[in-house]
Amino acid sequence: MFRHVLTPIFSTFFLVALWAILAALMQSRYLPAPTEVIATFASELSSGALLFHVGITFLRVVGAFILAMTFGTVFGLTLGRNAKANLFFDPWLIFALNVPALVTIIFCYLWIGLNEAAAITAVALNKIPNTAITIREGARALDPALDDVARIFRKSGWNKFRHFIWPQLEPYMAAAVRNGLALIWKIVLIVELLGRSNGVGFQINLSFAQFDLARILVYALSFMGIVALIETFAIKPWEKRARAWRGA
Amino acid sequence: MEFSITSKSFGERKVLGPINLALEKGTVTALMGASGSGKTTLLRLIARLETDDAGTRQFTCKIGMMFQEPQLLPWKTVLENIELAGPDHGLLSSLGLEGTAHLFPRQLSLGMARRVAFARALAVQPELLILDEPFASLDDHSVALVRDHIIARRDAGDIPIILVTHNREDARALDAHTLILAGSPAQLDAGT
Repeated sequence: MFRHVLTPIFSTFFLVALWAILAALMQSRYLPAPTEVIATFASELSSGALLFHVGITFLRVVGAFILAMTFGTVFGLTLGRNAKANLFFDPWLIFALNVPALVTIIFCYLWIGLNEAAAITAVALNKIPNTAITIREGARALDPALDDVARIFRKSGWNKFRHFIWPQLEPYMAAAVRNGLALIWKIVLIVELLGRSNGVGFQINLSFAQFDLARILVYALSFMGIVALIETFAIKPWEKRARAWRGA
Repeated sequence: MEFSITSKSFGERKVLGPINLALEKGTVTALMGASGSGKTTLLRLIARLETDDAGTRQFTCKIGMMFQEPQLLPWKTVLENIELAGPDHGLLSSLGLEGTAHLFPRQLSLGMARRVAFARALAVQPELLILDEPFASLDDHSVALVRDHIIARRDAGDIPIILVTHNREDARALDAHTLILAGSPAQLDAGT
């Protein structure tokens, strides 16, 4: 038990120590020391800038995440349950999957304008195909024998979804949420870098122009920390609960 | 209850020919026949899970069905599986399943899971009870418990019961009206 807790902590300290040693040896502005990053973190935190920009990015991530998961889930379920729809829309899905994120972002900014709606739409459009594919696989794996049980016991609509479909889809949904979160916040940074005047992506772009690598690390690590917290305290416990009946 | 189909095919293969069947309240109908003769298909047609070649579905009444496999929801406990169909009303204990209410299906033996499936079929308080091989994988004691339940339902006289069995003794013990499914495509004959 202790080993499971102590090993990751030791590993993290080892990484930071390695970073500190390298920074001390190189003495370069391109690799700021951990102490310099901590000092910048304190300064950005006390000025309120860090909370403001991280907060803005977080709201964009939440907005895009809700849009992507909603449309991706509906689309994926439709394709997974309807062979004709799948045959028709599969080329669309493959096309959408392979459109570079940057292209989608540029088109959204050009079509919708340099505004919040375009930013969130661009991120959501990038994620919808991934969610749809994951949920489509989940829908295909639904056990038809349990469909019979639902029909015999006259479960339809919400009752059928809650008792029969959702428990089978839940592991796929958890995977889509985890992958979605990881992908979405990275795309949000690109969207902010290209067309917003606030947020972590904007701050990273600004710091890059000023060769302020410590500030880049402060903003990147802060948001990575938030994502890690969501993963640890929301997604993992949810997955654990969803898999409890498997006894795994 | 009158049941009638013209035929049932899967692709080019006609599995069942014309079948007319009357199911009466307070009786047990035992469906027998070789493996692959179409017994389960016939039960599925009766249960509205399939349509015949004319595209018609049969009864609209409330059906309790025990499938060939238990088909319990693996993410629900034994009690939750039963309560999904209807209240337990002591079914678990009467089927020798005391102490299993909070177990998950993966923690049950096949025989126990089949008894839970039987309990679930009864819990729905059906107007028609359909049982696909209700005695399969059960030990003698469990067979007796299930058989007693079927007899009690038959004697209550308020619902028809149809079941598939390979064992003439089971049909005889239930005083069942036996029908044999045979031929290609299969049709019903009165059993001897």
